[in-house]
Amino acid sequence: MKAKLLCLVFLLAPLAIATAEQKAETVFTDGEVNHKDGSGRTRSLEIGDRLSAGDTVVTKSASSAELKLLAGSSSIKIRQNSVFTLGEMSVDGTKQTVLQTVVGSVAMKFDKLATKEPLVGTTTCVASVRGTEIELYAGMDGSSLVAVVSGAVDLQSAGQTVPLAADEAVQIKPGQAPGPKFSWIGKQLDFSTWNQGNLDDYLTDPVASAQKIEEQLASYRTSMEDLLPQLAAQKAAYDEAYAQLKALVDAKDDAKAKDFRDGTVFPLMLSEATLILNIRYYALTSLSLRRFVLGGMYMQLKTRHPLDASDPAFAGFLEVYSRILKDFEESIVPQLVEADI
Amino acid sequence: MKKLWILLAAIAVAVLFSNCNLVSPKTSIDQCISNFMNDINSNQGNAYTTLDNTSSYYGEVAALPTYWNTWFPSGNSYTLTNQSTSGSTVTATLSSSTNPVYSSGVSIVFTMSTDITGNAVIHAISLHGLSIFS
Repeated sequence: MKAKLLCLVFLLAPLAIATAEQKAETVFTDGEVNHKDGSGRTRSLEIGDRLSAGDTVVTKSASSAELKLLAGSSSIKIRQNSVFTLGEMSVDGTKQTVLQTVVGSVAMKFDKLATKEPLVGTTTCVASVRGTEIELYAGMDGSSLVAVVSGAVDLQSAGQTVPLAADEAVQIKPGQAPGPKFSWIGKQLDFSTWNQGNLDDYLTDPVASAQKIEEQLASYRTSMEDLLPQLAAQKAAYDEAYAQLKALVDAKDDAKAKDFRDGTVFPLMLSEATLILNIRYYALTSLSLRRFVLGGMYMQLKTRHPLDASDPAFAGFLEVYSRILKDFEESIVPQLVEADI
Repeated sequence: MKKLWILLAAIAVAVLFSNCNLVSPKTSIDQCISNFMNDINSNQGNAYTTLDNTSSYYGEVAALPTYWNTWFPSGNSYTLTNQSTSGSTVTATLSSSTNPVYSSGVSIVFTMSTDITGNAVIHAISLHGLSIFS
């Protein structure tokens, strides 16, 4: 059974594009930390650098970075060997920042924010936070671990929501509902040990792990494809309105043309722009999952079987891997631009 | 070594008399907006080159032609008139003789900033009162 997996639950509604900005500023870096912006440029991240939606921070071994959200005094500590992105999407009609830990370990502390609190998550789950201090781990196999230090979190994955209070944690496998909550004593979890467990599980059954990624990507593709007909309908409505406006302009009925333009045409353009932003969110999240998680899984096996692709586990993995890539090329790549890749 | 000095001196004299700059000239506000309009008219995928990469929307939409095409459908020619600059704010009227949405002109406001190399870049765009880039 191919279940429809929904990681994000949100209501799409026409909205005013202009909302509060939630950007971040770099307050600390140590070691090798890179910053890739939306135009595809990659450079070293320096103290004082500002980040905007669509930007990615990559920390190498023995390196770390700390960001501060400009809206409020929240801090984000990105530990070594991590990939962190700032995304943006429309939630309940409001444009909202999504702080996404793609792989690695990130600690976030949200204080008194001046604007609406952002969403946080990994490539497999998303959580809304309320005055929270939270630890997010994103494993090499797409698994996530969310631990709440203080405050509260509503975590969503595969269409299910789990409330988490202080000292509670939950693990999420890609494409699956959150696992059972467990008590977390408040100390920093050992990411390396946790991730080593993920690696061991992955190496035991790489095909099953790849299939979970396939399911997760399928859920994003489904969410994205749900929006495409809406976009097409929006474009059709716009084309129709455009034709009506042209008729009014050709008839030199200036007053009616102006009213129609302001009351109908511009709102349609705004709705279309909003849909494009949300489609883009799913496309970029899928790209992160494919590049940083699935790519890492491939390399783990490739380095273990450099000359022998006929190993059953590797061969099985490659079969799923090829299927994912083919699907990715067909469904996601058309929504990306060169700068993303 | 002597030849090197002569070569350097010759270059210095040439630069002096040719009135040329060894560093690239900075992009002015007017040039930046002109470049943006050229991109909107002929190459919307290139519009990001005139935009401020610290703007909130930059990573999401700057390099996305479909986004710009929503506001400025391709196949039309867009022009700016009544352009005036006050500090970092440029106001103008955007018109198009072929797109009825803009046939009577709408206001467009650019908020400018400077990138790390000193070139003017567009930090925000408000079109007919709607913030389409910020």
